[in-house]
Amino acid sequence: MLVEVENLRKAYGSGPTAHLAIADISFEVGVGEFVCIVGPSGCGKTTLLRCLSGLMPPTSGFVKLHGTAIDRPPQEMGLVFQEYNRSLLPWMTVRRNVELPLKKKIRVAAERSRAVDDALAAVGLTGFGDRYPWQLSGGMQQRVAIARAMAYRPEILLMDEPFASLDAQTRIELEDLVLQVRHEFGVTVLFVTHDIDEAVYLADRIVVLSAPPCTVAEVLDVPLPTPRNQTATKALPEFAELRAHVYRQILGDR
Amino acid sequence: MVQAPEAPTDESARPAADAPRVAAGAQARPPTPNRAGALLRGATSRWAGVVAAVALWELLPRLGILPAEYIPPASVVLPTLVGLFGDGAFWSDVGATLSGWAIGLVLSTVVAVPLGLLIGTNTALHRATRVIVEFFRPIPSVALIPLAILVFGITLDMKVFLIVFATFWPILVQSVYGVQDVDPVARDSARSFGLNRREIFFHITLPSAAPYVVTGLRLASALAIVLAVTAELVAGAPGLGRSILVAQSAGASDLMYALIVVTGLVSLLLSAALSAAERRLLHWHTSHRAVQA
Ligand SMILES: Nc1ncnc2c1ncn2[C@@H]1O[C@H](COP(=O)(O)OP(=O)(O)OP(=O)(O)O)[C@@H](O)[C@H]1O
Ligand SMILES: [Mg+2]
Repeated sequence: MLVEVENLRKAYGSGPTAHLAIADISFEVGVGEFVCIVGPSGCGKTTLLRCLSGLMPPTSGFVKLHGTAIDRPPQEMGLVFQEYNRSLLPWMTVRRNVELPLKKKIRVAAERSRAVDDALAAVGLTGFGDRYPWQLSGGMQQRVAIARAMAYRPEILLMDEPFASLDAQTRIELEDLVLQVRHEFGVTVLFVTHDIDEAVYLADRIVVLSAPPCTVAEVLDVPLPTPRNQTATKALPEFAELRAHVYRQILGDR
Repeated sequence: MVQAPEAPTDESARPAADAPRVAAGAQARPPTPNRAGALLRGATSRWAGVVAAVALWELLPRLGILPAEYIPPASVVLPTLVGLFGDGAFWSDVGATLSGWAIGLVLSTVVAVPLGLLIGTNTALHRATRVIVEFFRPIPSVALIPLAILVFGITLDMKVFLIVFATFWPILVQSVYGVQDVDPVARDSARSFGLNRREIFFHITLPSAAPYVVTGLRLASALAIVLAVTAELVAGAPGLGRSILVAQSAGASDLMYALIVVTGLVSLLLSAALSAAERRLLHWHTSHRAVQA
């Protein structure tokens, strides 16, 4: 297994004022899988992702990567946050933003420059390298964040509601971009969302979280045919069934 | 993690994010045929204000509404002012005042910025130094003039000491706020991409703090000029301030006013130069972003 989450528990603070965000979560992710994590708002998805990425230590339990527990952000992971306008640095051009994490990985400047160009091309931003992030639209900024993560050549791409603050059309474009990038780079994706349609459309497997303090309500395979297609896939009766199933898990029989 | 910075006592101590944003919004308006006209009108009305003020300056003493013996009309002062520009002694006064300003400001900056960045990143140090800073910061620098004279005599060092004391605190406090305002999302993404502490400091913390530090420098520069002139005026250190006093004792009120106008012009030029430098350095900041046509 590439990633194993074992009895992960996370409480903020300590003593009587401690707030239990995650009660007990276990699941596994295999190489090349696209796993979506869905759950109601406030259930601890961001907390889970921060523990998964090694940015925050769990209160108890483990996150294992290639069988070893992580205690810091591992080289093998690239992150994309929801807040693209805050995770990109406004004082650097797009090119410099993408390049910054590569400084240690690729020592030769010309090779690094090529890696940046390739990543920008992969997200359809060729020619925008010398702009500043704030000169781009929200969708383009999130493409830059994806390019930055992909140029880093991670084994695992972690995304925390990356499209939640984008309009519907841009969102659809970027969903397909992520599928395409995943195919091109052969990367494993862990994708957090509260959008059930998005989860069913993208995932090979869905981890459904319960209401807070969260546990795993269900792990669900998504046997929809690939490559996915926004109209064809969503028109399948299996898609509607899966979607309804996850809705019932999260919202109950409403 | 984001500590709410204590409200700066001076409102202007915050990077001006809101006001200029409004201005940027105004610029974003599509250009209309009237735009050039509006710009022209803006320039005209700005200069119209200056012309009106000079006209009043001329008329009020001439009409006897203000006493001409204390307030000579513009037509008397302005030629004296122009005459100063050919006067070597005047330029050495300007040099003396400016060297106090420059040395004091550089010393303050070199010490206060690193110290502020250190204090801002270290909670224990911040707690330990807070009371000291809050005690020294409100002491008006001019209250130390007697002490400064005692220790340094009437020298450039005395002036520099006062300027450093006055400008140290705003630069320090702004630097502390600056590092504390680093966006946690930016820092987390840098951490997740394996940047080490040194890289995070240079690529994230320092640029995030820069707008605050620059605001501190702008405040400090204005204070430094005030302190330089005050030290010269009160203690008699060479410079524009002392010459103002000399002119007054000699009854040369036209010269006195000319020198007063010069101190104003010097401050104006320095602040314009600093703003220009700031626009270059912080071109990426919300308050300076050029709107793409
Ligand atoms: N730094 C923190 N300190 C204390 N409590 C926190 C902190 N961060 C999150 N929490 C709490 O933990 C719980 C889970 O938060 P989290 O942000 O992980 O939820 P989420 O599922 O990502 O929510 P959303 O769908 O709104 O993004 C919430 O009740 C939240 O208030
Ligand atoms: Mg969240």
